[in-house]
Amino acid sequence: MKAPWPDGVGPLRGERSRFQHVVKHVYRPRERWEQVVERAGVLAREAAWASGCAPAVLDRPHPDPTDCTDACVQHVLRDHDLHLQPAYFGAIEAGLAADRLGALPAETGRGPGWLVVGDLGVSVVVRLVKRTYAEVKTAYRVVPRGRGRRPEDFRYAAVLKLRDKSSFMGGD
Amino acid sequence: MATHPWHQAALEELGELRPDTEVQDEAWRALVLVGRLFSAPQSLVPDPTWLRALPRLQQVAGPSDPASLLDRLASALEADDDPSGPLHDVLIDIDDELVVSTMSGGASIGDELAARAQALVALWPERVLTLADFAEARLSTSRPDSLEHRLWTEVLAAPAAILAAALPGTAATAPVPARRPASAPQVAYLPDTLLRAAAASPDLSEHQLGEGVWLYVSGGELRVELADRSPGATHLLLQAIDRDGDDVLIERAFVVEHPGTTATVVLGDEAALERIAEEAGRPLGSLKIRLVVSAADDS
Repeated sequence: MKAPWPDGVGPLRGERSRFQHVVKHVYRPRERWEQVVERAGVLAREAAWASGCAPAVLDRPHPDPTDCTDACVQHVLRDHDLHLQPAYFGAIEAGLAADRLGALPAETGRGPGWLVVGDLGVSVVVRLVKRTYAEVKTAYRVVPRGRGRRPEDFRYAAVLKLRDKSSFMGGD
Repeated sequence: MATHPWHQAALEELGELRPDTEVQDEAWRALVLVGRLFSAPQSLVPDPTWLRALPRLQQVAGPSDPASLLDRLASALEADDDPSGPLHDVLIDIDDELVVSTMSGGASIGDELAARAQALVALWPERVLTLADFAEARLSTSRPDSLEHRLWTEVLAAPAAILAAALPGTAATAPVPARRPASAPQVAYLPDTLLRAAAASPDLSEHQLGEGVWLYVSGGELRVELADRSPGATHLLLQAIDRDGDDVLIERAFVVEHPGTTATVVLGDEAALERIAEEAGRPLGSLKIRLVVSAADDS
């Protein structure tokens, strides 16, 4: 039986997770976050450099906030609160309205989950952490395989993943 | 025999696509869906229109990039975010690549991709635990001798692998896995900042591009130093890629023999990157430069 959509959804939890999501997704050009968030991508990364984030740390596959100055960490976490968080909550709202929602298998020791795709192709994984309360676990844009890089190309790529992942769960 | 919902979904989605599409991602998706039908245990055959369209769809979809898929898989396995995010995405992308390569006769490339992907998954079984339900369902929709079957079998075996590693005595004898299997290619990109600096002046300082991969200028030569290699020969492929389209514009292959564990590859003189950009007919800033490193006998 599929779990009902939770009453409340909280943001990404934890400084490390928030830091990594901003640096790995919003600051890197591959996912074209400037289509979702004003002054994202290279401009946001340059602003992070200016606030004391070392480029070598930002370029790591899995950047670690403990390698950064406090000023850098605070800057990146502010970018989460001001830009990424509204973007993923907006994506959830738009995805629910458009029925771009699929159930995910339960994670061991944790609750069932959902994948939601927003209008601009932001994919958000949400998981139940209490009886009726869930949290965002990851938010990112699926990069199209081909050359297309318009918002609708990102949305198409994300919707295909939603179909494939949730098809065995019987949709939602 | 009733059609499985996975294949029913493929048939329905094919009905929404056009065999004469000029859209790259739609052409690829059509190939994937036809490939999924072909690889079904009961060998479903799509409408003949699709079969006739396959060569043209392959042309529109463009070439594949297995090295990039493996790099994405390694990175997603090393991460600690929800496995249902980018990790599940890249496993599906590899599955797509495998069904299409089998259908189009590229089995040797698919075979290597499946083997390397399996090896990577085997290093991080705990990361794929939650994908077991998907793996089980996917296995029921593919033939046991198919490449994608091997991939999802590895995912499904994760709990057993973890259990085996935890058995008394195993920890002391099991070898510590390398960050990547020795056979997997290592991929590094030159950071944007470095390309901008190189465009402005060839006088580059030393840069670490990845684990054990360094780029620097010495004696008027641009060099890549690769640490912790197995003694023998190392293969380095340099690719200049269009930043917008992801097309590989220029490729240079280097093979260097080294008796010790450090391999030094000379890419050219200190203006080598600028010269590659000139040859590609693009400004350096519009390119991505990718280095793919592997043991020479793997390539």
